[in-house]
Amino acid sequence: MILEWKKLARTGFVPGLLCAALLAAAFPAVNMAVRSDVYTALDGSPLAILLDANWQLMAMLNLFASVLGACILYHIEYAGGAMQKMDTLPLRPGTLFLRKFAVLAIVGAASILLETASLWGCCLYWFGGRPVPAALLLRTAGMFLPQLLPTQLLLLALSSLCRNLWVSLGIGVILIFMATILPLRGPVLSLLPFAAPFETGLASLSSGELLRSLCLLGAQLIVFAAAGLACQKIRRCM
Amino acid sequence: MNFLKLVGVEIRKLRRSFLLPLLAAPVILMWIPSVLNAQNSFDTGGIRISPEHNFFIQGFMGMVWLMIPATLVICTVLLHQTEVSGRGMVKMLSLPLSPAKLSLAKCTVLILLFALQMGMLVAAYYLSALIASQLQDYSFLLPLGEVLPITAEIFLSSLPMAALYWLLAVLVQTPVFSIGAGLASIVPSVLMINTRFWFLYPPSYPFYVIMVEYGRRAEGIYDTQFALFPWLPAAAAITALSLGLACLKFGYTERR
Repeated sequence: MILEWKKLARTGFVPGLLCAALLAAAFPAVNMAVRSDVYTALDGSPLAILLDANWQLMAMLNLFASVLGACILYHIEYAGGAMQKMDTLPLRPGTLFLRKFAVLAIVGAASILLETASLWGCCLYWFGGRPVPAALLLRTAGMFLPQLLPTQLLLLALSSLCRNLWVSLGIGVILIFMATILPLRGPVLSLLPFAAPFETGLASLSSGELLRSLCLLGAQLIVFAAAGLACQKIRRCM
Repeated sequence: MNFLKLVGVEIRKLRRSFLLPLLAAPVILMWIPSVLNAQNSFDTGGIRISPEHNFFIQGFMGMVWLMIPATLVICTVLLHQTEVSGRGMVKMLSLPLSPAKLSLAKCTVLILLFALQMGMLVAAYYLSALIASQLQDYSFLLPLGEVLPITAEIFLSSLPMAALYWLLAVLVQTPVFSIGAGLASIVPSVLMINTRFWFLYPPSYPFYVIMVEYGRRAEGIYDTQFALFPWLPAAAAITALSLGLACLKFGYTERR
C-alpha cells in the first residue's frame, strides 16, 4: 500500500487530483460570491439550494478526477514495461488491483471531505440565519462516497485492461458523457455507475430507502470488484 | 520533406490505435436517446421553435459543450502518447527537420481528426433524423444548407481551443496535469458563457456559437447576432500565441 503511494511520487497524481478537488470546492464559493442575492432569496434548506446549484458541476469534476486517477494508476505500470516486472514478483495482480483501488478511494474520500467542508462554509457565510444541522451535512457527505466508489472501481478495471492511456481515458470520458445525456431517473437507474455521483437527494430519503440504496451501491461494488479481479486474470492471458 | 508528407507520416503513426471506434462511439451514442425520445421534440416548453430545429439543436448541444472539448483533449493525449513509447520524440527530433514543422504537422492531424468527427456527427444526425421521422411520422430532416454552415461554424470556433490544448500538451509533460487541466477547463465553460469575458475563454466558443444559433431559431433564448468585435481579435490572438509557443517549445524537455 505504501509502495503504491511511492510509485505515484513523480506523476503529479496527488497534487493533480488535489487541485481538481480544490477547484470543485472553490466552485460553490465563487458561485455564491457572484450571484449570492439570487440564491439567498430562494426558500428551503440552504444545503439543498447549494447542492442544486453546484453539485452537478462538482460531481463532474470528481468524475473527471476519478477517470484521470484510474488512468494514471495503471499507466505507470504499462509505461516502461513495469507490469511484466510486477507479474514476476510474488504478488497477486488482484492484490495490486485492490491496493490501487484503495489509493483511488482515499483520494476520492479526501476530495469529498474538502468539498463538503466548502459547502458547509458557504452555508455558514451566506445563509447564517438558517442553520444547517450537522447530522444532515455528515449524512450527505457520507452518502457521496458510496455513490462515487462503484464508478471508480469500474474505471480502474477498465484502465487495467487498456495498455494505452488514451483508450481508457476516451472510454471513461464517453461514459461520463453518456451519463449526462441519458435521462437516468428512478430509484435504480439513477444509482448506476457514472449517474450515481450526480445524485443529491439520497441523504434526505427515509432510512428504509436509504438502506436499499446503500445495498444497491454495495452490490455494485462487489460485482465490479469481482469483475475487476477477473480482468486481472484475463489480462495475463492476453 | 514537405509539410503534406509530414502530416501523412503522422497519420500513419495512428494505425492500430482504436481511433475510429472511439471517435465514432460518442457521436452514435448521443443520438440514441434523441431518437428514442423524439416525441419530446414536439414539447418545446413554451419556447417558440419548430420540432425539427429543436431535435437538431438539443442533439448538437450535448455534443458541443462536453464531447467536442473532451475529444480534443483525448486526441492530444493520443498524439503525445504515440511518441512516449520507444522514445519516439528523441528520434523525431534527431531528424533533419525543424521542430516547429513537426509540431504544426501534429496539430494539423489533431484538427483533421476533429474534422473527421464533425463529419461523422453530421452523418449520424441525418441517420437519426431519418429514423426519428419514420418513428414519429413527422419530418425531422433539415436541409443540408442549414446543417453544414452550423457545423462549419462550430468547427471553426473550436480551432482556438484546439490550439490551446495542443500548447498544453506540448508544455506540460506530466500527463496528469495536461489532461487534468484540459478536462477541468470544460466544466466552467457553461458559467463563462454567461459572463462578460467569455471571449477570453476558448473552451466556451463552440457553446456560444450553438447558443446563438439556438437564439436565431427560438425567440428570446439568447443573442441572435455574433458579437464579432471583441471575439475575433481575441480568438485570433489566442490561436496565434498558442501555435507560436507550441512550435517554439515542441519537445523542449528532450532538446535540453
